Amino acid sequence: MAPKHVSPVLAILFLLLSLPIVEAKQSDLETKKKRTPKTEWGHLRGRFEFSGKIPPAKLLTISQDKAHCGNHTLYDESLVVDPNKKGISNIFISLRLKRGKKIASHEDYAETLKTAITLDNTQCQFVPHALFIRTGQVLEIRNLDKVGHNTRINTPKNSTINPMIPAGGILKHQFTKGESIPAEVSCSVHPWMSAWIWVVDHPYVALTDSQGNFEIRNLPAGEWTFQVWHEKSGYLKEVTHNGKLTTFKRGRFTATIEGGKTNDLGTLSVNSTTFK
Amino acid sequence: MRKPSSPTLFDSFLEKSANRLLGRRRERSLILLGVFIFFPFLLFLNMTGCSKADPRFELDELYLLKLEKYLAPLSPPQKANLEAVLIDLYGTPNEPTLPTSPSFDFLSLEDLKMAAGAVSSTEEGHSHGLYRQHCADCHGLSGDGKGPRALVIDPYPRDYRQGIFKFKSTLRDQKPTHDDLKRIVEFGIPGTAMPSFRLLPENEKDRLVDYVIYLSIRGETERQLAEYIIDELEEGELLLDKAKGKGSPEVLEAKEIIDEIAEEIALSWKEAADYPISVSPSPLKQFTGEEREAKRLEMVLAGQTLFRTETANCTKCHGVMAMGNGESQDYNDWEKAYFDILSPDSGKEYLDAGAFPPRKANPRNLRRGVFRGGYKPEDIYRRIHQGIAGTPMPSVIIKPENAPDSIQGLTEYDIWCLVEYVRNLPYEEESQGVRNGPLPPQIK
Repeated sequence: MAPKHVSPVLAILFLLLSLPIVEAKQSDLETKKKRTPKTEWGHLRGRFEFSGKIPPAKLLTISQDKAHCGNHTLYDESLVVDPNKKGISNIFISLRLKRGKKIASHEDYAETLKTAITLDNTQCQFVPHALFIRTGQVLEIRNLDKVGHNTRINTPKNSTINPMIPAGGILKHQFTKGESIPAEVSCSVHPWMSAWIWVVDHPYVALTDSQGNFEIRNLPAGEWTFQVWHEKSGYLKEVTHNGKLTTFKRGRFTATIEGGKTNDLGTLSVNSTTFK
Repeated sequence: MRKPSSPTLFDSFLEKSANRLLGRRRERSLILLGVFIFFPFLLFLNMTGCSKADPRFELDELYLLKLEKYLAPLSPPQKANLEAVLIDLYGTPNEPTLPTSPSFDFLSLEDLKMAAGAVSSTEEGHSHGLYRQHCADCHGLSGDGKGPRALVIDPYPRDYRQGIFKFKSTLRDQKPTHDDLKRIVEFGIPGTAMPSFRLLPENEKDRLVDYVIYLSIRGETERQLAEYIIDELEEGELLLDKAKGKGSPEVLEAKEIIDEIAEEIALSWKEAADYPISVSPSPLKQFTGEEREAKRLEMVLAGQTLFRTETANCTKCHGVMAMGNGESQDYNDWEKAYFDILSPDSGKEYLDAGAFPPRKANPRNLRRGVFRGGYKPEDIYRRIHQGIAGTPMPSVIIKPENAPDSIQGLTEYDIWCLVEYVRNLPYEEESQGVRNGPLPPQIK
């Protein structure tokens, strides 16, 4: 769906907002804001819950650099479920825009674009295991270990990178294109190391926390399509919502965001068979 | 109907069909006569080639299977439509075509036509079908690296369709230049089955390079269009639905997007030379004679020390003795797309669909003195600087010459020391057995 309600004036506003705001421009903006109806912003929230038998945590086999990496107890993080409340971690939820379409960005996001996102190689694991980044935002790949790592990021639209990060080293990288799905991060020296990164060209993306909760803040009010992805399932295609089995074709669902409030989807339950 | 006395199964089949056709037994002999005249005629047609289908570029079924597994399937009509769109853009193995956009103007359609098609020659120095004559046996008709000979070759021949090439003068994430590929055609790749085509006339080598670029662009376009269909279209919607009318807004919009995707890929080839790896001059160049040799030895020693540090991190894969026997294990990107190194059972569905059994990326034994990407110091400098695209060999973080010790990375001088160390390795005492004989037991 084309965001038809985004007027050209708002698009200009968005452009101005993404520039470094100097005082003169701010006053310009103020006058413009008075003349146009205010965009309403709303939040989207929800919780993903596991249904079925939770698989036991799997220990990783440390086959390389045992002297250093062998000191740490490392678990397979490809599916992390909270044993008590059954929340599923690391599910990606992102706004989905058709090719070439843009969306108004809330002013809060201008500042976060300047904040670097870190991906650490620490204790022979990637931390965090799942992350997202916006185009133009700086990714700092850090190696906090005493051994060298390399970090291969297999982004199909942005070219794949595979830099060697020396012990104590930092590499800064920026992506230029939004990706349609998260990309795998791996280290060829330590094959158990794995992470997933979603490069998006808008700020409306979230990951579920350890309790399965997610929140996307300050979306422009209206009806939007979102896409859900998990490394074990690819597109997450089936959930139980309000007691009803619901199909997310190609991992997509639409939600109407009402301005000025938090739109809560409630609990979305995912069957264990989804994560084969 | 079938008589027990029927002499052969074939006769009885003809008889049955004839009976069904006419339902009258007395016409049978007439039908049989007709069939006996018609079949040899069909056979004749077949021999003259009239009924033989032209070869086609097959779709990358493995990649489509992967998309299906992780994202969504393409329906059979969507696949057929994708193939038709690709033929519109690039033609067929016998009749290549190119989009008219200026992004493609670095390729000559005339040259591609000489490289494509069946092998033939009208006069000396005027050969057609160059790709099928010299390349397709290993690299396959569509450049999928799965020619009839490919399976027994180690390493497997390159699949061009991902657009990833290893040995080049450009940055890791860029395409190689025409000259980079021509060098490979010219000299082959030592240590692999890729032979040298040095004896071919210059223009034929150029045509082959252009044809490889053409196949790569075609393959990459196919992948991106398949992704586009899954990402952007409704389920089952055709990429280019000509039934909607030639000038209809839907068709025009689809064409625009298809061209945009194809042009962007072509442009990455056209502009590849704009992204060279900058190679600083070797520090040895300032010296001559004995001074130069003394400096070289100093750099070799410095290189050896660096090679074994966690900063350069070479030993992880190449081993302390640089014999390619480090600890690392991984696949190259072409295998990694379908197989997981940690689970040997992974990717069975891809094997069933025709994927070759994966082989682990093989860190080079540097003592053998075989350098696939070239022997010149500058070649080795580039391999260390940018790593090798599509492989676990990483690029390095370049550290400014006068940066404080707290900044981790390699300076350009460090890289040159590593280059001199690597170049010196085959001549070390320990390498003599390695170069000619079998590998000695692992030295740690």
